[in-house]
Amino acid sequence: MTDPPDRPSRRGSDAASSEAEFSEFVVARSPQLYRSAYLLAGTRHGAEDLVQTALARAYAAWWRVRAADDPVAYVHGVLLKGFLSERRRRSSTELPVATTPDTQHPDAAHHDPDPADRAALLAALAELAPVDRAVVVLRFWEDRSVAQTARDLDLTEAAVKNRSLRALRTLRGLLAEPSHPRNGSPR
Amino acid sequence: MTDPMLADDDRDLRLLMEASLRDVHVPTDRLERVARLRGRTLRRRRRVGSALGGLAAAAAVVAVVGSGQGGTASVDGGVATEPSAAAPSPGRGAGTEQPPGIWDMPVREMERRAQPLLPPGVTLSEVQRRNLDHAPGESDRVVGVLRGVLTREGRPGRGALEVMLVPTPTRTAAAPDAGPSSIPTPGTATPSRAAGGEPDGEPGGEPGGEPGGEPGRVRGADDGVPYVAGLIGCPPGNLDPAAGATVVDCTELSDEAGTHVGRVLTTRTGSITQVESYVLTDDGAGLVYVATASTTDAKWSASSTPSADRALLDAAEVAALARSASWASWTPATEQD
Repeated sequence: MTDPPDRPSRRGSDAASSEAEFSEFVVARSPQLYRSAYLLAGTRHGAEDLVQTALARAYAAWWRVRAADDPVAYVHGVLLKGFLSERRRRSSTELPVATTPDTQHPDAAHHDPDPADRAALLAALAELAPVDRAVVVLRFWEDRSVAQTARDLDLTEAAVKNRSLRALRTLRGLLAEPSHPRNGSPR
Repeated sequence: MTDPMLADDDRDLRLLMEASLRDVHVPTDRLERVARLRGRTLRRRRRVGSALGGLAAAAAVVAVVGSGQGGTASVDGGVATEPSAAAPSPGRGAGTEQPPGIWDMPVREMERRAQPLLPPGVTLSEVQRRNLDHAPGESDRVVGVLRGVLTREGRPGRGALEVMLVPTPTRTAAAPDAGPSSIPTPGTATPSRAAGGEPDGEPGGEPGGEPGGEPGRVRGADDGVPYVAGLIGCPPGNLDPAAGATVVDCTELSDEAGTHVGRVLTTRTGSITQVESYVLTDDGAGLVYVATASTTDAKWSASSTPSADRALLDAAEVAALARSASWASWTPATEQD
C-alpha cells in the first residue's frame, strides 16, 4: 500500500513525518496506556479520558515528546499526572462514590474472559487512595522500580514501600472476600 | 526490588491484572481521533500564547481581542499538567502546525455567527469566552471553539452546545504491516493504517448510503480520505460512539451535487442524549463540528447530570448549523475579532 499524497501547499515533509510518528506511537503504545489507565480509573470512560488527554498533550507538543530520552515513559508520566490531578480536583468537589466497574457494559462479556475477576480487581483498586492505586499500577503493572515510582510520584522511596505494603494488604483482604461493599472510596 | 514478604502477593496481583486485562478492547482509533482534535485545540492555544509572549507591548490591545474557554466537553478536557509546563515555541512543532484557517476564528466571532443560525426560540448563553484553565505561558484567548448553554422556548431544561472548527484531519503515512483500516472508506476499498486491531470495522465493505456500491466521493478528498470518511460516514462498522453509547440514528449528508460532505449522529449514553455533526467545508480543508447534549456538564458521559430530557436541538437542526456556509466565509487574513 502506498501512502496517500500530502498537500504540498499545506504541509511539508516534516509535518508528514510528525503525523506519521504520532500515529505509529498511538498504535504501538495505546494498548499499554489504556490498560494502565483502566486500572487507575476503574472504568472504560475514565480510561479513555485519561489516555485521550495524555495523547492530546503529546500531540500538541510532539516535538517535545520525540526529544525526550524515553518518549514512552514521558507519555505515561503525562497520563499519571492527569489521573492524580483529576482525582485531586474531583475530591474537592465531589462526594466519594462507588466506582462502577464495567460489568454491565454490553461488550464486557464479549471481551472479557473472566468478568468476575476484572470486576473484583477494579472494585478493590477503587478502594485504595489514588496515590496508593498509582503506586500499585506503577510497581506491579508497569514493573517500575521503587526508585522510579518514587520519582514519578514525587514520593520518597520509603513512602513508596509503605504504600505498596499497605495497598497490597488491603487488596489481599478485599480480593479474599467473596464480595465486598463498594460504597465509598478513601481519599 | 520487591519486598520479599510481598513476593507472593505482588506476583498474584500481577497475574490477576494480566488475566483481567488481557482481552480488554482498546479503542485505538477513537483514542487517536479524539487526541488529535484535543491536541490541536491545545496547540492553537499555546501558539497564540507564545506569540503573545513576544508582544508584551501589545498586551493591552490583545487583552480586548479574544477570550474564551479553550476546551470542549467531548474533545478537550482541560486537564492535568505535563512533565514540563514550558510552552513550545512556534515553529518547533512545525510537524503538527496548521496554516491559518477558519479554525483561528475567535470565539466572539463564532458566537456572532452562531446566533442567527439557531432555530427560532433557541437562545445561546453562558458562552465561555475566556480560557480559565490555561497553562503557564498559554493565552486565555480561545479560537475555533464555541461552547455555551442552549435554552428553548416552550421546552424545559438546558443543554450544552459546542461548535468546533478544525483543519481536516489527515493521515499521511501508513504502518506497512498494520493491515486494513477499521474505518471503511465510502466508495473505495482502499485500506489505510490499522487501528490496533479494533474489531469494529468492516474493511472494504460496502459503504452505507451507497446502494449498489457506486463509489462516492468525499469533498476535498486527497490525503486524508479514509480518516475523514471515518468522521463523516455512517456505515455500521464506522459508527464508533463513546464506550457505552447507543446509536440512535446516523444520517449522511450530501450537498446539492450529491457529494458526501458530512453526517449527523444521535447517540444516547445513560440518560444523556447527544447529537453531533461533522461537515466538511466547501474546500475540504476544514471540518465543522457541532454537538449538543441534554446536559450542561463539562464532560458528557453516562455519569453526567441531565439538564433536559433530550438535546435542545434535533438532528436536522444540528446538521443545519454545521452545514452553514457562514463558518467557512470567515478568513483570518481579512477579518479579525
